[in-house]
Amino acid sequence: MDKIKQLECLRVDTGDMEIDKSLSGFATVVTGYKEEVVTEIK
Amino acid sequence: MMIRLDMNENPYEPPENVLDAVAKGIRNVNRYSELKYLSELQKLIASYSTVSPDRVIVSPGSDFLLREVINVFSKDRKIIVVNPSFLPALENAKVFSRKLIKYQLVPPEFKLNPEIILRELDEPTLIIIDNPNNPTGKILLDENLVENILQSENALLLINEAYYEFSGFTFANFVEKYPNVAITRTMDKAFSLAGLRLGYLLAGDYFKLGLSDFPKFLSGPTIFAAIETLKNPGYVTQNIRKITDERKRLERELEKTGIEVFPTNTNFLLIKSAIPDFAKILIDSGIMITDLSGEWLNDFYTISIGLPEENNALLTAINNVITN
Repeated sequence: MDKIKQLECLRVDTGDMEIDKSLSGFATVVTGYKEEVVTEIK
Repeated sequence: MMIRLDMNENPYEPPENVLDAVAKGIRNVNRYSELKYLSELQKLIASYSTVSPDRVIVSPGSDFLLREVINVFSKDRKIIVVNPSFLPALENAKVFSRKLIKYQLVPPEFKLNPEIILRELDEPTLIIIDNPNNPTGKILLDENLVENILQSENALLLINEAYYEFSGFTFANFVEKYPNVAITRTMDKAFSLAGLRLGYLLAGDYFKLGLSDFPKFLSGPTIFAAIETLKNPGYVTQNIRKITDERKRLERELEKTGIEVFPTNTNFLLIKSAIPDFAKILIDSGIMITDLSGEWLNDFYTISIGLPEENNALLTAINNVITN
């Protein structure tokens, strides 16, 4: 949790722009026991 | 003496009539507070908030109310909050709640995506949002989103309006219409009563029932000061105007130094500065601001609006940092 709350977004870089685009948007990330963070993937 | 611009306090003391009311309360300090004065205060808060008095729950600071709501209503519910925000008891609440979800606010707009919030209402959920948000100063909720949340039978919504008097934006009228909403506010900020601690909650029917055994107690000085303040609120309006004017001046002056300043609806400014150890350097100059790194994004800070001379000292210190 400590690290993700210091990030403005998550980045994906698969090497394929189409796949990157399909993975973008909001995601719920499990960060600990009973704890999640909603953040944007770009 | 350290200049404290890190607590979002009101830099102006209350007027003499309010201080006289505090003294009146002190004279009876050997006695427990009388319920008739507490009832009078509840009626004045109700009138100020345009709700019925039976919906008003008072407390020594809104933190106790937030803590109580979390403790009473989080069991077997999902809890949704935004990050950053400063809420008590969340770690303990994870034990009894289904899970804790933090919605990350990011620049430049720091906005909520309504679809994401509404999508989460698939099971019993307690949503707690400060509006305006501390520390971004941003209004996060609009009527449409709140209506949509409250129409879900799974949702309980607590809106913390600690900075209502600065934003002028409230959902207090929703508590008569929806059972599943509550509003917390404080007299610590705009009313200049931080040292006396007075928070209050405006409860929709469901919250009213769940919080029915919340202890009814405030100290005599707090009760008398709050009554006097609500009967003669002229100084509050004047101080808000002074703080708002000073905020605009400070914003302009900070921008001249190259610091990024974000729009706010409160008595503090959110800024971004790439100066290394910015807050520590200011402490060495005798000024405290809030460093949000660790809790949130790096290089972000909040600055409470102080007295003009305090703000000038801040600007001088920043200019010294930049020129050196």
